[in-house]
Amino acid sequence: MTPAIETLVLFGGSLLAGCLGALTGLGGGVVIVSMLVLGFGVDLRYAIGASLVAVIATSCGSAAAYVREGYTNTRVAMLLEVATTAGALAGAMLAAHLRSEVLAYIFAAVVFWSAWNALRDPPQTTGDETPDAFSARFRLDGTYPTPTGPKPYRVHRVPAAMVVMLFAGALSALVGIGSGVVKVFAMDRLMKLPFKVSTTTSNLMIGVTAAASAGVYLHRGQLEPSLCAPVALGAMGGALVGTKILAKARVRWLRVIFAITVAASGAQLLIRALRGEI
Amino acid sequence: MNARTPHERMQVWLSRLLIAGVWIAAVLCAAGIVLSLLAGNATPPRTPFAGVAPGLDSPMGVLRSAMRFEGPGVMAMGVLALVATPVLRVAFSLVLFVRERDRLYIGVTAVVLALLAIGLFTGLAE
Repeated sequence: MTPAIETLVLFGGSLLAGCLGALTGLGGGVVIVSMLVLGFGVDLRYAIGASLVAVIATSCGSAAAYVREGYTNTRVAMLLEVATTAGALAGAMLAAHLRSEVLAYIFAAVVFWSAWNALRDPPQTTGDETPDAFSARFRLDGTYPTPTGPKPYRVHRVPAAMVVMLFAGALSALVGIGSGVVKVFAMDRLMKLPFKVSTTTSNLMIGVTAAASAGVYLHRGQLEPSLCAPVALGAMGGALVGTKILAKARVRWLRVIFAITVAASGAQLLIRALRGEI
Repeated sequence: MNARTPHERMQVWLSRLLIAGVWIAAVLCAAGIVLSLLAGNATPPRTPFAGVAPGLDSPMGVLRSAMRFEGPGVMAMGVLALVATPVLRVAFSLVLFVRERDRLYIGVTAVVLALLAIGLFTGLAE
C-alpha cells in the first residue's frame, strides 16, 4: 500500500470505530486498539498510544456540548480526576515493567466486560435524596436539566468511588482506553448520580485521565505521529457522526451485533497472546 | 445563549475552550498528514515497537520540529494540542476558582494540574 492509501484506510477505520464507539456507548478505545492490532498488525504499544490520543479527541469533542447544556458536574469531575490522574500515572509506570502479552490479557478482559455491558440496557438512575456529609463539605450536590426544569440530586459515597477511580485511571493507562465503563459504574452504583450526569461527567474525565498517561507515553515514543494523526482525525469525525445518528435512531440491534464482534476480536487477541504472537 | 450566573458563564467558556482545542488539533493533524505525504515520509511503523523519530519524544522537541514545518513534527504538534486541551481545561478551571476565592477547589485543581504536568514534562523518567 502506498502511504497515502494507508493513511486513508487508517482514517476510515478510525472513523468507523469512533462512530460505533459513540453509538454503542462502548467508547472508542476498545475498538481502536483491536482494529490497529488485529486489522493493521500494529505493535500493541503503538496501538495503545494512538488509542489514548483518539480517546482524548472524542472526549473533548463531545464533552463541550454536555458541559454547556449543564449535565456535567464539573466539581465532581475535578475531585475524581485527582484519583483518575494519579491512577493513570501509576498505570503508565507499571506498563513499563509489564510484557506486551500481559497487557493483551488485561485488554481482552476489558473487551469482554465492555461487550457484556453493551448488551444490557442502561440503568435508569434518577437520583437519591438522602444527604451525605462528605458531599456537603465538598459542595458536590447539583442539578441537571429535565423537560420539567432543573432537578436537584445528591452525591454519595465519594471516598469509595475515588478508590474505583484510581483503578479506572490505571486501566486507562495500561491498555489505552477511556475506561468510561468503570467510571460510569462507580458514579451510577456508588455515587447514585442520575444516569445522564454519570455518563457526561465520565466523558469529561476521560480526556484528563488519558492526557495524564499520554504525556508519559510521549516520552516513551509510543505516540507515533503517522499513526496518531489519522486515527485521531478519524475518531473525531466518527464521534461527531455517531452522536448525530444516536439522537435519531434506536440502536439496540446495533449494540448486539457490535458487542458480539468486539467479543470475537477480544477472543482473537487472547489467542494470539496465548500463542506468544503479541 | 443566555448565560447569567457566573457558573453558567464558566461552563460556556469551558466548552468553547474544548472545541477550540479539538479544532486546532484537527487542523494541525491534517496539515501534518498532507506535508508528510508530499515529502513521502508518512508510512506508519507497525511492528516491532521502535519508538518515534528522534526529537519527537518531548513537548519541546515536537515544537521545534513543527516550527520547521516537517510533516511528522506538525502531526505530532496536532497530537500534542489534543493532549494539551484537557490540561488547559484544568488550568482554566484553576483560574476561575482563584477568582471565586474557592480555596478548597483551588487545592483540588492544583493537585490535578500538578499530576498532569509531571506526566507531560518529565515522562516519569526512570
